[in-house]
Amino acid sequence: MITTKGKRRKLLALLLAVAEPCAAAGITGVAVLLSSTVAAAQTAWGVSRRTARRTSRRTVGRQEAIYHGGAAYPYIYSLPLGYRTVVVGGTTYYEAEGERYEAKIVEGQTVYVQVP
Amino acid sequence: MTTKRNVALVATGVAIVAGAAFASAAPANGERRAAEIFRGMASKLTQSKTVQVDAERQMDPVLARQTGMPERASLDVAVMRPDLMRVRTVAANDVRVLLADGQKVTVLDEKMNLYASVPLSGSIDDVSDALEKRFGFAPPLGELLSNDPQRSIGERTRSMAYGGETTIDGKRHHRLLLKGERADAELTVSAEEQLPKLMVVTFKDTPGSPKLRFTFSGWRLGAPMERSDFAFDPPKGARQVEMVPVEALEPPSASQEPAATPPARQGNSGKPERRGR
Repeated sequence: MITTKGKRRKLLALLLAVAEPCAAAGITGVAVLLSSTVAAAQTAWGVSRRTARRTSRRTVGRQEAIYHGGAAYPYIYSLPLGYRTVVVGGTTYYEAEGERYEAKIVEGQTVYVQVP
Repeated sequence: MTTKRNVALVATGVAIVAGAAFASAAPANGERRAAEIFRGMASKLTQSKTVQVDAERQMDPVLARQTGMPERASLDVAVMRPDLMRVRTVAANDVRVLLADGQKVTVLDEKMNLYASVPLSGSIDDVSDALEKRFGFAPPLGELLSNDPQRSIGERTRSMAYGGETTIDGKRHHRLLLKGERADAELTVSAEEQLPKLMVVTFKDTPGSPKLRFTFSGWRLGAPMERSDFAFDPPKGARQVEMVPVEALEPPSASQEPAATPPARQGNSGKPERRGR
């Protein structure tokens, strides 16, 4: 019995068999296009994947957070106005509106994780 | 799984192209022309050991909200092949630098004067892949300026077509229309310089199909650079913070512990302590 996977392999083998002599004979396109189909730049695709992840999180109603040991530590992208910086035990925190935050880099962006 | 999908996509592309090449000359010519233009652009970029470019980035508000990135930003990108990259992104109230020095990747937030470094070695392509996989982001324009854009970009493309010519600033340009799984892109390439001038990406999987636009200027190929230009020297008073791995952004299963360090208030015991309000 020939499976779908098997058919795909056979098709690929057939196409490659066709592509190689075409390229050797100078027929433009097949071999070239094997390796030169294009898309956008990394940022575009990176944004796409990042957006998809965040949309997924929001769809299921989750706040953006860092997870550790079964606990969720919510984060925000900018500090509330009037925050102040404090250094405790060598670690820098930001305090505002009765909360304390610690900076981290998440997906290339600076975020402020709420400290329990 | 991803590799399998990419292989399948490439195979599909071969099928389409091979079929078109023999069945109908017109579509094949359009695709062939687009491929040749892209190949020429990629070749010009990759043959230069150093590349510098300025870019203006603009994204629709919905994308800015979803990504946490500013709607408008100016990018100053420098690459020294095979393994060095520096991107300085300036936006309103935000200046960010990404540095890949061949051994590690550093993200510096100039405004907050903090940075995160992670050990990632290898070529620009390796580092871009690893950053995306482990930390959920990639260097801006990393694929376009990679050492092998045909591979890095081609893996994510379903089809490409030639969109005709257009004139920008009195100069002739080619329009390449690219289709991907989640996004489509239009890449405008200078006919004379063989370098990108515009790129508009449409995110078709997002409601409203928002767009991301890049306008390129000031291409400088082969400009003299030193490895030391890509070395990271922390600004005075800069604080090091953690770069959070992407697996820590999803709730862990019962058997899986994320690698992120939890935020903790420092007390005398070194353990997190609850502070009175």
